[in-house]
Amino acid sequence: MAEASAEARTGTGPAFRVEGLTKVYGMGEVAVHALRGVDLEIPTGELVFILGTSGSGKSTLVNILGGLDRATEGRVFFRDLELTAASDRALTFYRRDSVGFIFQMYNLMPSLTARENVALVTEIDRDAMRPEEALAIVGLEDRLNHFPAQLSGGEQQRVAIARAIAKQPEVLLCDEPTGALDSKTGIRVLEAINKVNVELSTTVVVISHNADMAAIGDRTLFMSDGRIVNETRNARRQAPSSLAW
Amino acid sequence: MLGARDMKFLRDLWRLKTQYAAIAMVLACGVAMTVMAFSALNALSEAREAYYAETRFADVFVNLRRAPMRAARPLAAIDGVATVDVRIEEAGLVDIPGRARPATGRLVSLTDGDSLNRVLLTEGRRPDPDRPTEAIALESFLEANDMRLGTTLNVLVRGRLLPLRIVGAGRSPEYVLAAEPGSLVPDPSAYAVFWVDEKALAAASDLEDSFNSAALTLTAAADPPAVQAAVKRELAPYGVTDAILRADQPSHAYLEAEFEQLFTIGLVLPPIFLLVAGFLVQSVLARQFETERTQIGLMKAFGFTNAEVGAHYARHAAATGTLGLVSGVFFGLWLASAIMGLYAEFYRLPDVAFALSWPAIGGATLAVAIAVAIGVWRPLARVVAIPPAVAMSPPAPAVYRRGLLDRLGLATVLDALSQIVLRTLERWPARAAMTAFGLALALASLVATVFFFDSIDRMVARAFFEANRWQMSVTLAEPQPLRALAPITALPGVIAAEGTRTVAAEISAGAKSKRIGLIGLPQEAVLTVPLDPSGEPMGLPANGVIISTGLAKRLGVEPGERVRLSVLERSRPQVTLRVGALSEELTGLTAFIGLEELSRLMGEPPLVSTLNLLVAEDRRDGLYALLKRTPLVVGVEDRDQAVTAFTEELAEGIFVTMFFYVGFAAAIAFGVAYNTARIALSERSRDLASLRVLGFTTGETAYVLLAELGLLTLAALPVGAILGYWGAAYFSSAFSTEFYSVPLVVSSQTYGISVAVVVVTVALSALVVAWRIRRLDLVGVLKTRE
Repeated sequence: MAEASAEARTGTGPAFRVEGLTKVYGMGEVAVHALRGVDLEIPTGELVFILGTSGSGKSTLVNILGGLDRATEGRVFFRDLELTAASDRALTFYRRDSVGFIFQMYNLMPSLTARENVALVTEIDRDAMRPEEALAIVGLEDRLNHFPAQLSGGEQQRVAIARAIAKQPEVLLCDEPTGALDSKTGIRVLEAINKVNVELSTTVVVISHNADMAAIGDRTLFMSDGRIVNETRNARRQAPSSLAW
Repeated sequence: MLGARDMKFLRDLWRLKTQYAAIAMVLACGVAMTVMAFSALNALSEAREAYYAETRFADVFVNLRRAPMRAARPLAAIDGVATVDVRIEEAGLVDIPGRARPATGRLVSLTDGDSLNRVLLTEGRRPDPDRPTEAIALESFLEANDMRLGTTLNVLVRGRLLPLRIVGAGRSPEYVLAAEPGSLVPDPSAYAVFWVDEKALAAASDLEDSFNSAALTLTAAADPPAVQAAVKRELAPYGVTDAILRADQPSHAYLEAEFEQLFTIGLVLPPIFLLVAGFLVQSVLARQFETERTQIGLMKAFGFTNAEVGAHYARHAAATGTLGLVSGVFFGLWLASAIMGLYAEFYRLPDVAFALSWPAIGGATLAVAIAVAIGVWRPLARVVAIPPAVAMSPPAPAVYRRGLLDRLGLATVLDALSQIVLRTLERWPARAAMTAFGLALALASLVATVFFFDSIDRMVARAFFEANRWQMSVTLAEPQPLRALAPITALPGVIAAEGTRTVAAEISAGAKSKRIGLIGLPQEAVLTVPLDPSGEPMGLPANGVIISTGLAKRLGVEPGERVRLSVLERSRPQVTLRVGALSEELTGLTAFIGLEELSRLMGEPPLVSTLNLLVAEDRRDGLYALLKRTPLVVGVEDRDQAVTAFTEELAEGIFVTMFFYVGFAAAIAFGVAYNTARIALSERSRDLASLRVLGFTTGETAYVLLAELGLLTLAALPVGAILGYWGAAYFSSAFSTEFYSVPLVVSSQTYGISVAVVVVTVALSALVVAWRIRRLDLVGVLKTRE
């Protein structure tokens, strides 16, 4: 499955189009340039890895792609929607309808069970799959009624993935999804992400410190000092199970 | 120079300023109430004492029919008596120029300069002894009627018209309360006191070389009841009706009752505020402890002692307490000066000087310290107890389990957001209960104060419409047979007339006794009827008395038990009677008896001392004009005027007070609601930001926070309503005096208004917090570990 050609999965036209994206935090002497004119296109259905050291701007880029943060300059399009010109409310509905997030800290609701954490998003989405279905995809069909505190870190992260994919988002944005996990658990999480990309044709952007991990993607972007400084394309995507770190 | 810890303390304080300010506000309300009540009390008591000293206010007041001047001499010889002063007092009906309705008047003889109960001249001069018609009038009467010095008034005294020229305005400690005993509230425009030359009054009232009133002061070693008994013995041959101690002097007793109410306010309400503030300090500090866990661990790791770290956090509470205390003291002093002004004006106490009540401030300081200490105790104990390594590691995640919600099957029917709300409440039931309790106290303090309006409505309805159904009540100079009153009952405009007789009497049961007005009612009375406690009119028992519930309580008697009645007039008969029933009398301590029975007891034919009238509305003014010239009449009370005076007099004071109580209660509600929501926001900012990231709108996210507050408010309402009713019951009993009882009525309107104030305050504080959800840092909060 991992060998399927990129063309077969990627649809027509780009999911994201980024033009001259700049982000500056603070003002004057304390101004920090997080992004310095990034240009980028991510085709629909692609699995992209963004690598870079801490402070290179990768999280800022993904946050702006996800409608969590605002650009200082430049334009960002998700299909025909210009995120850089959208209102707060429009961004909220963009996140609700089109984006799935996975964070290093799982950010589950401690007061809801695994199934209910997923139901949280499926309740506000018409095309969502059933929570049980989404949890089955990540292999948690027998942990439905456990609260986060009763689940391991890997299990919690998989609940977060199930929550992100349950509404069948057009894009899945993952910020260090395996950062807090051991390698065995991390691989299970990557398998789940890969599965979503392959089976649901979801465009996936993954931020990582780990260069080896990028082997499972279509393309790898290298960021440094707020710019994309290099880009490589994998002729063949590896299966997550072949990784080790 | 400020150290690093000082800077941290100041910055933390600034960061949490609104929360601490909200707590300080609640504290300040409690402190203000105490300081206000006791400072005002202090100032008023001192002013009263000075006033009493200056005017030589008497210790014993005696009324009698008529005694020759020589009868005064033995009084001075009674052991314990320091000074004796005798005088003449006479009732009169006052014709006010330009007004149909006459006023009830009292004429008092002016004696020499160093007499007791002296008049304090506020304007004009004393009457010239050579001009017998000159008089000093009670200042409040002149002001209420817009009357100037130089006015001449016709006063009907013992059937004779006595023209009085007002040359001075004065005040007297005897008439601080300018009202006939039994009146609900003073009506200064309808009650006049005139001080006139002794000889002139003696001539007008046929009391030459005699007196009918005496005032005594006592030595420090005197035994007042013994003196009282001795005075009664000495004056018994002269028809003594009354020898009362200062404590029972109407004006003094009324003032004393008001002071007691202030005392109650100062003592009872503030603890509620302090309790709530203590709870708030605890919740805010506990939250601060959680957010600064790592810092606490670090400070300990750096080598700060537990005491130093603990002291650092205790400073927050201390700063809040100090802010609350200081602002409360100032606010209280300001309130005190406002309320003192009202009291001084109402009671015409001269020279009310602002006097700080140091004991009140000291007490408030102690109470604040206790409240803050209670609040600080548990969070501080945790700060001290936690080992540095544990403090620096992240707290164990909150563990939720399947609870009641799931067992009830609610989990499956509710949406996920509502489940979050309910599970949070289920997870921290004690905190939820405390919040609900705090809001309930806010509601309760509103209900327990706003109910006074219902009480007043009930008092007016009962006193002026249900128990007394007359429109005009005419007091006669002397009891008369009913048929002798034809000149009045036959006057044009009188639709119906009913005579009653009131005699001064002492009622006693065991060792307890009380001086009352014993009212003789005709069997078929319709214009004055005793009401049972549910407000239904009741008939007179065949032989026995009906006494008011207030009187029964004071005497400790129940229906069916016996009381001893000693009439203090005429033949002074004594009788033991069964208490037939209790009546709901809202004004004064009264007892009812059949008119026939009273007459039999007095050994007289049926006589009446009061005529109650129903009158034709359009003939009312004409009727007044005729009554003013009717020799038998000494007083006329007009129902409508009394209602107006009652509501107007009370309105000013009550509205001002209510305004503050509503503000105080709103302060509690705001303090509780704001801090609860603010802490919830801080605790769950991560969850709330996650919701926003997942695409929930600000409104949907706010729902999680506000629904919790809403549910707690909902839970607080019935509890607060019940507590409020209890509070109202307490105040109705604490504020009931011998002059009036405050009925316990809480209308649905009162509940409605109180609930509305609490709900609106909660909603406002919730909005303030919800606004912050818009500003949640979605990126930051998700990246960092809490």
